[in-house]
Amino acid sequence: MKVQFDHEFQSSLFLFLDNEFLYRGGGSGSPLSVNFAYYAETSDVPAGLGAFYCPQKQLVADGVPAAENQVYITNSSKVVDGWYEQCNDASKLLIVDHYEGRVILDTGHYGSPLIDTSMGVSGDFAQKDFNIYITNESEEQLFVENEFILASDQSTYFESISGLNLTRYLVPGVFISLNSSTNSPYGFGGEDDTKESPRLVCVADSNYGLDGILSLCRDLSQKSFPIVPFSEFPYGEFFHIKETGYAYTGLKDSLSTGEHGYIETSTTSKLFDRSSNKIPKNLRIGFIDLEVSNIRYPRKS
Amino acid sequence: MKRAGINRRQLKRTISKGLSYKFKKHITRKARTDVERAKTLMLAEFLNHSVTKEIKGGKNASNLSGTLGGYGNLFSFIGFDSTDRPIPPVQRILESHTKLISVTQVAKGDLAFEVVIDMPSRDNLAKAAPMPWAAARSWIIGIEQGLSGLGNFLVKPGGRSGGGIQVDGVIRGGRFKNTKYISEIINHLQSNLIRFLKT
Repeated sequence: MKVQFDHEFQSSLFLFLDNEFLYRGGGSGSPLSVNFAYYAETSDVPAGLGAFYCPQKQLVADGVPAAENQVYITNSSKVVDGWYEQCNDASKLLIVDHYEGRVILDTGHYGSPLIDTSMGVSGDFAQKDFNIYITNESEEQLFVENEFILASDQSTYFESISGLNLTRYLVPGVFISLNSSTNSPYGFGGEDDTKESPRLVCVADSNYGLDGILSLCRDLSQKSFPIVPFSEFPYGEFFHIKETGYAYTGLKDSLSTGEHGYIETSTTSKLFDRSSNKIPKNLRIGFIDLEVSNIRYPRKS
Repeated sequence: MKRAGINRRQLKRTISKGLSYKFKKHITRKARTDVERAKTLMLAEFLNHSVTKEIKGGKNASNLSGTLGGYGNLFSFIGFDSTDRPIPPVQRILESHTKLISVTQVAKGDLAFEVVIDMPSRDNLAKAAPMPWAAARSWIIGIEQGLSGLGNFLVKPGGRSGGGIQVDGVIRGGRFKNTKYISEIINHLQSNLIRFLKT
């Protein structure tokens, strides 16, 4: 199926929120040295490629120059120790997956820890204070069927080293899901108002963090963001930056005359009165319900 | 010979001056009756709605609304305490916010009247129906836009609602099915009011 409006809407909201959290909320630190651990079994990576994961999960991509998407490879029999930039050339593929916090590289070109057991991959990357995930899971599925890894918890940090290739969420994090949407007539000629109601579930490890993210999101009301066409989406198949680095502000400017989503309301609430022990006591949970209006021509071919 | 002319404007003004008071009185009486009639129909629709009945039925109600595929009931799914009575606050808003505000003459000398009626707003209703575990969220909006089953999950067996289902590990496959509720009732109220006032 071709990309539909809801796909573009969700990914556009993702980019917008990521930028808001990072730059308006100051939600990231300076780049730090990050070590990537190799996992031989990774279902979504094609044969011939190796995946190296970092425990911090998501890496900051917005506002990072292309040249800084590089990793330092050591003790490989294939290449000399040194910095290697992201490369989309099939014969020496090396990409940084910012969403999963991993490096995917061609093991035939750069070497494999299966042969060079002491091979190391590291780099300087900034991590997010709040990771952002797009999910299809309902709220109850999110909390019951998933295991969260706390970024600040040293014991789970080391525990997580053993299963970074599994689908586990590193929190603090914000989970975006589309709740419902309706089209209502807006103008002549088939112009409609597509009202989307995305829900954000925030999982934080402190009241300070939760209050911060809820406050930031409440103030999104009456803001707008561009609907980014799929061809303009800055990330590639493995959530790597497609070309010459990515800055949301530049992307926003280039799409200033296109379709926009307008956030009409933003309602925040905190989860309270927890009578169950299912949700770990050290997690703080909040909800943000947005109502976003999109004026568009849905029946235009 | 002098010709007698009729000042139509003055005549209209004189006639309407006498009639407007009587008309206004009549229209006010009719509008009040119409509003009460529409309100009665709205309350009957609200109280007989399957969602209202199911929630009113408390922890032991069956899934009359079909929103949960016949499994469990909305009272427990939303996560109400067994002592909670979620319907009366909504009913009170529907009752108190449906009233005739004023009947005013549009312009002097004109026999046209503007009837202003207060109707329950979505925001007022939403505020009267908070989720038991997230105050800013409303269950009446959730019924229409999608309701999280988190309340169900947060209830201990035999605990808050008494009828809650403690989920262990995996959530059952079925999801909540959105259904038209309060917005449809308000739309019916509006169309009834227009219909009654026009006749």
